[in-house]
Amino acid sequence: MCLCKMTDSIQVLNLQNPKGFVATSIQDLGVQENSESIYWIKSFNSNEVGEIIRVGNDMIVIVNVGTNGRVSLMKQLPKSVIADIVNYEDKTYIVSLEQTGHEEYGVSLYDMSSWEQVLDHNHRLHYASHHGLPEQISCFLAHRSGKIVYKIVVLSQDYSLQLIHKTGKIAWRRDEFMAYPTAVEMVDLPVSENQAKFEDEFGSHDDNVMTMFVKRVKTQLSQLQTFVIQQIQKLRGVKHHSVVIEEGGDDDDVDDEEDLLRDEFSLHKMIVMATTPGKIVGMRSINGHIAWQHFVPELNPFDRFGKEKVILHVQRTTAHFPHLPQCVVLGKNKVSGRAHVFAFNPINGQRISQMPVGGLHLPYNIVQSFLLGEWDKDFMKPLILVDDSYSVHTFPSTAQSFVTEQSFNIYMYVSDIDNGMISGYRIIKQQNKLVADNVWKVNIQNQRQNLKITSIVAKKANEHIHSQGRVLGDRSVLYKYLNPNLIAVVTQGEEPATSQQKAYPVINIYLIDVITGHIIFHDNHRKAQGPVHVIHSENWVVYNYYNTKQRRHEMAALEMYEGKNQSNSTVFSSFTAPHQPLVMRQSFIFPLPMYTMTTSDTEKGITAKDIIVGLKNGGIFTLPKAFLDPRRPLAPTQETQEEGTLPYIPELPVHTEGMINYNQTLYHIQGIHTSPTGLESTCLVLSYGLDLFHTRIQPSKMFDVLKEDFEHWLIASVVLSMLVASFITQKLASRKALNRQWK
Amino acid sequence: MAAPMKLFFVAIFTIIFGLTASFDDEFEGSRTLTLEHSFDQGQDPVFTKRGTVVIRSVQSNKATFSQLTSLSSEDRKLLKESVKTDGIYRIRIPIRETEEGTVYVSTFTKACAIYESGLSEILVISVDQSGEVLGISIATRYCQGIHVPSSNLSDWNTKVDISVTVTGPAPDTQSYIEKIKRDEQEKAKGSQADNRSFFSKYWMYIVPFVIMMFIMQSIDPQQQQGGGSGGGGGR
Repeated sequence: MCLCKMTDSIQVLNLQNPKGFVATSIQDLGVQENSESIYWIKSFNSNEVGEIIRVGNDMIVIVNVGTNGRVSLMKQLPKSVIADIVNYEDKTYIVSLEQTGHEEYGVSLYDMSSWEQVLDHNHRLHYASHHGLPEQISCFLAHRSGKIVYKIVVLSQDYSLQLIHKTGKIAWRRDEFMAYPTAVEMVDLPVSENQAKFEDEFGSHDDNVMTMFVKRVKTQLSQLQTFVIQQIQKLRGVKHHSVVIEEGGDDDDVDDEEDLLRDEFSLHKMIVMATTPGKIVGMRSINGHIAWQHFVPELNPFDRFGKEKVILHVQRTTAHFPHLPQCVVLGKNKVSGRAHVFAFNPINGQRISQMPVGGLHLPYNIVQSFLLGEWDKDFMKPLILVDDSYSVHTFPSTAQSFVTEQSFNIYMYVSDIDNGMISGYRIIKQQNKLVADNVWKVNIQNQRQNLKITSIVAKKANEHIHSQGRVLGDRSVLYKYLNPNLIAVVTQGEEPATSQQKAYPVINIYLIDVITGHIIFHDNHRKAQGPVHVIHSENWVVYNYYNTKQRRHEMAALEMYEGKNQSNSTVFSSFTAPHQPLVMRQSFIFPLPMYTMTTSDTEKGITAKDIIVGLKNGGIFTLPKAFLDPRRPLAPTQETQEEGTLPYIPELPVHTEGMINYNQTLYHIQGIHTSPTGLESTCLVLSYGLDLFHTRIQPSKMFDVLKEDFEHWLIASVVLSMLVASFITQKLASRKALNRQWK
Repeated sequence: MAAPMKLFFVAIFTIIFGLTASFDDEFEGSRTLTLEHSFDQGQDPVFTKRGTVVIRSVQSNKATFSQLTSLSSEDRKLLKESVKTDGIYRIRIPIRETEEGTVYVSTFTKACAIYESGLSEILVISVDQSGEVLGISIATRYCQGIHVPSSNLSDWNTKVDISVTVTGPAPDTQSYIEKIKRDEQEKAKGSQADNRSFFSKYWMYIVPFVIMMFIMQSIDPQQQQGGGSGGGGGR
């Protein structure tokens, strides 16, 4: 038996003598519902035989398929969202959840033989709409003090599992959508209103002295107010919040949490995560509690390089009061495959104005999308979407004029994975519309080897590079080749077998400048196989592959330098960049297989970088980048010792002290996200996949925060006493000298 | 007698030279690619043939460009117009014929860079180890806004650089193992030298120490006697 969604009918095929599908439309069964969808829940054949089908969004139909292929209606349950069959004490019951109000369901239990309600009063449970519809329920019945009691487990569309018992209370809930992340981003929390006003005072340039003075006085008065209130609260003691878990309340600790404000060192962030079932959730990074959730079932991820991903961008950060921060998620529409966009405020989770509940369905297919690097006068970076006819759209659509102004500087690239071609485009204005004009093409296909592009990695957009060059042992400077327009492309293929040798896999790495299509560097590894994990940051690329000849994992590091002279210290242009930078390379043996790897990120880039590797044995390992230095010499000389480069050892040490997750094992790590904080020495690490793990690492130890045992009072008292002592002794000495004069 | 000998030597010399020159080739013969260019600014530009690039040897970076014709006056006008509108100059090379059409690799650069350099530029062609062309790019200098007379804009003065795929790095275990062996040998040799007896190594420190001990002994008893008698005398 199959359900046909297009014609709203039940098609039955007899498997014993197949003659074709016999269709019975829902309307024939007497169901008056004008439904958009029918969905099969369950079939049962213990005491009774039948199928449970959900029609539309709020009707359950129980049908029986006879031996002649005829479908007969057993029972209609209006207003029911989901139902299940339970056998208990030789009787068959149907338990169903019915919609009784907004975000409220009622539990009903029917005896199947008599279709009577068994439960004496309606039990209500609170069921948030952001879970979507329930997909499956499972029920246990028991007798207690003469009444029938139940335990129902509900699996919802957003992959969350809840247990309902005891007259409709929710015993527990597991949000399993967090095991299917497709995109993760960490957003700073906003500063408090007082601090924002403070910064606003300094921000405005076009006020005269009087208004600035008045603003300052007003800000200081409000600061005084908050200070007084805080002191009174401290004197009163801790407020006792009523710890009552509402019936089926989702947010049981709302009162205990503080407001979402930025703390001193900006260590508390809001984690925004988009997941496969279309759930977008915001979590506090301090304790992992969910702050807000959105269910956007129409938003499906893109399938690229074998992985499911949606595009999540922060269009406006929280640093620009009074403009609200904004995040946008771009995915594919479930039904049409066209673009589907959902924009929201990442701090409180509210949709931005004019955004429909299910997200905005755009009428075109997306070929490429990216965030513009410049922000407009409202500090918003527009999201640029290019459709398959190569015309350019923006989100929000009001930003089209701003993008047109900037279009002389906008270039993009599109890669054709299967054919191995990468094409570059520039944005030009043509007849009042913005279109993409193809300006370069690169062919990395090799017919014989059948190369396929397996990953393209660019640098992080907000990364800061602190020093322009590297100081060598003889005090000269080797300038780094810092090209922000560089991408690392990895292709994998197989060299076919010849008469002399067997077939072997090959991996090629290309570093391509996306403005001109210039290939800066290209190398190839024979008898090497993926999966290839690449990190591209600053002026280096680190990639990991498996060497099939030596049967070991290897990690190669490439660093690009311009040379002893810097070509241009002010502005970088891909048109005039040095076209053959010095690429230093070296390779090491990495003993363990890994899921993924990434690099640590700090605000100013002063701290040394750590490579964070998610190992397949369940640990997350940090390795200082100094180990992956191509300049590591085999025989250390005086010069290299001055530089501080470690001597070359072919194997990279993986020791348990470098594991940042101590005794907790993490399997199936999909990705690791790092984020800078207000402290230069600290970087936040969030690993997502089957489990979520969040911690802080300090690659160069904590050099910018005083330790807890710093004796403030001791030092202050010593300094004061020294001052006093010097003063007194000066006086005494002058008196003694005077007395001696008088002798 | 001398002339036939000279001729003979010249013939042998040219034969040897020809033979050795042909050993330079990496793959069969040399590769010829046609280069096309366009001054169009909009979508779907029209390309015209500019010349040919002959790659004689990949490993020793020998390639030349020969132009088909010098720049015609209409093309010169197009170039000057595109400089005024800050336009681009495109070039492309066809590399493969497929059912859907020819596959090209292409690139572009600012038109003002071509104009100001007087049609002199460096073309960088990236090829892989089997000789297939991966990409092409133009290396130019900055646009400074200078004016160039039309007489400089007639013939192309192009240098061609070939960049070939290098073999990726591999962990250098051989040299490391040799280094370890060498270090161990040196340590073994060194430790042999130190197997002399303890006394023969440290006599330099022991002998002065013993001398000092003697001197102290000889000083102290005298002082003790003198001190003792002095003390006794004092009471």
